[in-house]
Amino acid sequence: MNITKKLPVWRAIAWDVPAWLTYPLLAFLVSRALIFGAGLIADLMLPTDPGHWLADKDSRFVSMWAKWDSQYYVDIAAEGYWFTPKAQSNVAFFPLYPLLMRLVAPLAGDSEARAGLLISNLSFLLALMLLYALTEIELDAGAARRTVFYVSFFPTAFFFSAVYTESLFMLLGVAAMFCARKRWWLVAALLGMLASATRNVGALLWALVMWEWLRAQGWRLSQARKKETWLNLGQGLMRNWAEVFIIAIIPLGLFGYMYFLKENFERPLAFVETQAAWGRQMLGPIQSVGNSLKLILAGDMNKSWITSLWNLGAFAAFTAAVPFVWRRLGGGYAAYVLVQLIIASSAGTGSMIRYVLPLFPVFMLLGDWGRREWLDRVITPSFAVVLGAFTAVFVNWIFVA
Amino acid sequence: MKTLTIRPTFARVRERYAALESRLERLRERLPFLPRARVLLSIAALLAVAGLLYGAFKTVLAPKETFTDFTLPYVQNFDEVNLRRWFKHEGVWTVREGTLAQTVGGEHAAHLHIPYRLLADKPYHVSVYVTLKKDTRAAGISFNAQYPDMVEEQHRVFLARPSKERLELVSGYMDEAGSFVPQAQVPLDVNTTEYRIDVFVYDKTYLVLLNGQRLIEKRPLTYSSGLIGFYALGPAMFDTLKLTAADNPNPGDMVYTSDFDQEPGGAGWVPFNGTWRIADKTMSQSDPNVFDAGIGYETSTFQNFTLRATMHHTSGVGAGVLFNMPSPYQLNGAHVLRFSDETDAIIWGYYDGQGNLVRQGYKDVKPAGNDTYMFQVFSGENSYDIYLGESLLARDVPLTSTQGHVGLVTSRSAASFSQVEVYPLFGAKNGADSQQLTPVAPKPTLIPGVSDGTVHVSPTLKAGAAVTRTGRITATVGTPAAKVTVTPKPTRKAAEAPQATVVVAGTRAGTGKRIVATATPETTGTEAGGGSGVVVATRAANATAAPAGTSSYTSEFTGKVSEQGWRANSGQWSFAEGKFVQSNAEGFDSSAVYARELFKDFSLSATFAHDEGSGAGILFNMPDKGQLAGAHMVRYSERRSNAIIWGYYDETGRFKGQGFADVEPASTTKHTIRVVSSGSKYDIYLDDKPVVSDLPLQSESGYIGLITVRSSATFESVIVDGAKAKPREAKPASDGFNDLRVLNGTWNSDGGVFRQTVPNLADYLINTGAAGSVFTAEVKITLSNTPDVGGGLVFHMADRGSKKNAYVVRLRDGGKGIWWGSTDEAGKFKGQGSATLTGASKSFALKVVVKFDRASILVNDKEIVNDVPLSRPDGWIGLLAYGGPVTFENLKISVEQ
Repeated sequence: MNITKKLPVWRAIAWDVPAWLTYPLLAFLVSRALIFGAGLIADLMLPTDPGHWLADKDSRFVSMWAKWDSQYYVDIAAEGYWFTPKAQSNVAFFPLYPLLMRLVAPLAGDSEARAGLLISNLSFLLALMLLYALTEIELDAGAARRTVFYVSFFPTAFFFSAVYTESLFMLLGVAAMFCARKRWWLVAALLGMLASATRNVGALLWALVMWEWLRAQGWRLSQARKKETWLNLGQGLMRNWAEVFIIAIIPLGLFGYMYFLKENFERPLAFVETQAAWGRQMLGPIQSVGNSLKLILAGDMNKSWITSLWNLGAFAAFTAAVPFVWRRLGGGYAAYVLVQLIIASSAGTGSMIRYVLPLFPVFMLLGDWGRREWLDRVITPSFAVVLGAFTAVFVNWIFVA
Repeated sequence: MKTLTIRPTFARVRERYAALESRLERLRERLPFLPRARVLLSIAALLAVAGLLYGAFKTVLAPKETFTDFTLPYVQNFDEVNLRRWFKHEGVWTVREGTLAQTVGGEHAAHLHIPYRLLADKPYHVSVYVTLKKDTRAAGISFNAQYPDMVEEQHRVFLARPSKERLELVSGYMDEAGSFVPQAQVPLDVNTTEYRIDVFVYDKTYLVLLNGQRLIEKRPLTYSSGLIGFYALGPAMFDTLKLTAADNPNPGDMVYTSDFDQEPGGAGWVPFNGTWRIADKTMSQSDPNVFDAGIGYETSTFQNFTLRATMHHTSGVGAGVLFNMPSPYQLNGAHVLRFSDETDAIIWGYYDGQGNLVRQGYKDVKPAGNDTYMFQVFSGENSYDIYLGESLLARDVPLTSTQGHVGLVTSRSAASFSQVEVYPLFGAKNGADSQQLTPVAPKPTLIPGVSDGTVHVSPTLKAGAAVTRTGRITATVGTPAAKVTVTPKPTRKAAEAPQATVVVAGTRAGTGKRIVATATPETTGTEAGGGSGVVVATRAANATAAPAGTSSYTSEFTGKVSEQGWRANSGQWSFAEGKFVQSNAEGFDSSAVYARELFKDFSLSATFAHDEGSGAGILFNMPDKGQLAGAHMVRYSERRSNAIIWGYYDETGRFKGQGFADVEPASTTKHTIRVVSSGSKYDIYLDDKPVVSDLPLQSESGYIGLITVRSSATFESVIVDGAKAKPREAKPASDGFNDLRVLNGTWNSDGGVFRQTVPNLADYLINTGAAGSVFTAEVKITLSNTPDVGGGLVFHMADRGSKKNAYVVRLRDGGKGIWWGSTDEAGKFKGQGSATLTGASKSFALKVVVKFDRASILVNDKEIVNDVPLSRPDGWIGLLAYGGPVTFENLKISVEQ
């Protein structure tokens, strides 16, 4: 039994409008109602340590969704970048999102936080629509419906509505893949480039789009042993080399930011250097995961223990899903997920439960798996409960991820 | 309407796109490897978007303060500064009341760097004020910090307080292992918490000044260029960081033209006393009450240069220039050329290490008024020439400091300086190749208004100068071992009154040349009471003067004033408790005359103490007991308690100054003024120390009296001794020294031969009564056969009756060698050098040539050592025997003009 089938009223409403619009919108509205409600209740009812930064003095609601890293985005949008070597600096945060905040701020009462909230939620809605469409292409409509709900109710899905880059990055990633799937290489490259200006891992979209281009040339990994596969690929390259060139532009967002850092701070990798100030060291995924595991096994149950637990859990679950993604959606999606997981975990598993949010292929897989009714029944309610709890925690300045 | 408007536009775009596409297709026909036009345009569009995106980043998100190079000069105040953009590592840095504060303690050093960088090849000078708090363990600055590893790779200069009792100035750098490597540690004795640190960073070395004094010299640089930052271990406060281009390593190349006429003007000038500001395109000092109000130009030092300064007084007189200043923030060590604030004269000299003015000369000039003058100084390798306008004031005046900063000064006057120029001296060589140089200056011409072409050499005077601020810190340098005096933060405390200290005066030299005192008129403008216009000479001649040297008088201030022979002409005079008191502190020229006797060729001494103000003294050779006209006078200045003035009242009763000398402040302590009137000359002593001698008398006999001006005083005794006034022509030719004083030992004097006979090995001294700053002393010394016996000269004695604080040059070990050195405040000898003498003779011709604080030593006309630094610039001269018998013959002391 599918959750959407249980809601004939919504079905009736959505009857005459395209499904890529109705279901994502429904998922968006229901999930946002949940987090906004939970957030508001938690903000009003639960005590918060005094002295925290207030994003918008005029709006309690806006300030609710601008915590932790949001300060840096607001700061970048309002004051520009700064870099203090070996100290926490806002160069760690990529520029597209704060740039949009600055540009939209005049439309949002000159409040960067409000602009961020607007961008995040709008991006999330669009991302859901495109994700629906992409999943429908790759899988089917049922999977698409479930995917958008699963994403919307994922325990840390409140970040999609917070002043964080998660929603924008997911939008650009999904959109780039959607365009690639449609063979709109130019738009895919453009979106990929924007994604790489949103997060460093955005540059990985190049691999995903390129994989799709290879598929478009008739190349299959399973047929890599065959000579004709490579001959076809060679011919495709001769014929469409300009498309490869276009796709290669995707990391330009990252390179542009690096050049910006070099120009202003003489440190093109300042965004990497500053990570150390957050206690993130490039240990590699194995050691990082090992460290987290040790912490959990040490058994000292405290705040750090619990966050490690859910971060490691998220990492383990998404890593475990990679082979299934490979099998169900193809090597490109799987590689995209795997490399992002490796990069994210190389400096520790902290915040992993948030970093996995834009890994849409896993949610697509989950949507596919959700055709099993019992699983669907488990996933959505359990996700929703945890989402509500995490939201309450987040709005009270307790670190979630 | 809209549709109609859009459609043609859209159509036009399509047309242009099509045209571009077809053009690209045609190009593709020629270059077949090109992709389709649509692809090319797509790539172009994509790149355009990428460019736009980058442009947006750069425009919208660029740092508010970019990390760039310093623009010098750079001044960092802490009134409005956003520390968020600074590079902070540890600590809690805040701006409090216009200062930068590091507020937390703990084990971690706090660093804060300014997000600007210095160019690699530019020497610079950074200064900052540091205030130590109770719990400060270290505070200072870092420089040449290497971005982005500013903390791990930096030079650092800071004040460290390892314990409550200890404070030291430390400089060093961080090594590759991240450990601090000290390059210099200078222990300091502390009595203040505010300091100014100056660091001059050159190509390969740096040096450090603390409160304007160099404490760390030429330490090698490990890191070049970089960032400037603040460093603190524990709470500390910082203020006004200044960064300027440092001196050219060859200061002789430097040129400076003042910018007082520009907006903003006065770059590089740092006042250290007085009220200085740019006004009406001039640099003006507007407080006419401040002594030694100075301002230094800190950006450059100069060597072998010409300095020109154009100025005029706006109130009072006393302005001039400073040059060869070791520090631009204080007077210590600087040369000065300025108008006198006492008389119509120009004075020149230098401030010694303690900030006391040591005069090298003066020249009478017409009253300065508000006229515009141009001072010119031609500073060469060893000497300088000075001009007022184009007229020579003095030539080849010895330099005590051969290079340094320039500055402006006013003393008890306000003045405006319209232009200051410094440029290299023509023909000068600088640096290591520099040669002896005579300043190239215009030929001398007489100045209009200057009385004559004679240059007078003053006795050395000490007038407490800029260092009279907030007390003094005495610091002992660890490496090298020496005594260092650190003056507290120069510009942030209100100036206190100057503290004059010691008088070193003229000479009793019988054979040497006389020293002329500061024989300039004291323009007090006071009127003699009841001036009658009677011709003084006639009245004096008609008086019944006592025979020369026969009359004596010892005061007895009991009973009625008139009964004791005293006559009060003005003021409130009375006897009280055996003393003679003048109690009216407001009156001018309150005088009392001993009316019973006239005196000629006498010694008159009066012992008194001021009750209020200063201005008490004596009158002598008064032609008329009822008025001052024609009388000579010596008294404390009522305007400066640290000066005595002398002169006479002319026939109209107007005072004519003959000179003045800076002395210790009169205060309320007891002083004795003594004059020896002999023949046509008179000498002055203060507290048994000679002040000046051989002054011309206007009247050679007359009454004696007491005087106070705007002060009240109590006179304890007045003594006239006719026997002590020996006729000058009656000086014994045999020894030439008529004021000898034996300090210890058994000395015989016979025909100019002095012999000390006590055989025990100890120092035995005799003071010759001669004193001076620039002199040559020579004597033949014959030692006995006792193995360790020695003998020599002692000079620059601070005290006539003691060997404390003097300089000693003497033969040792029966003539096997010679050593030289100084005695400390306890009289303990501290060697500075020694040499071995060869030969079996027990007779030696010892000669010392002394110029202020430098001396050369010769034995048997052979130079042993030259240019020995002396701790003092002047003092008494004596003979010293170590054991006995030691014979001194042919003693000659020539005190130079």
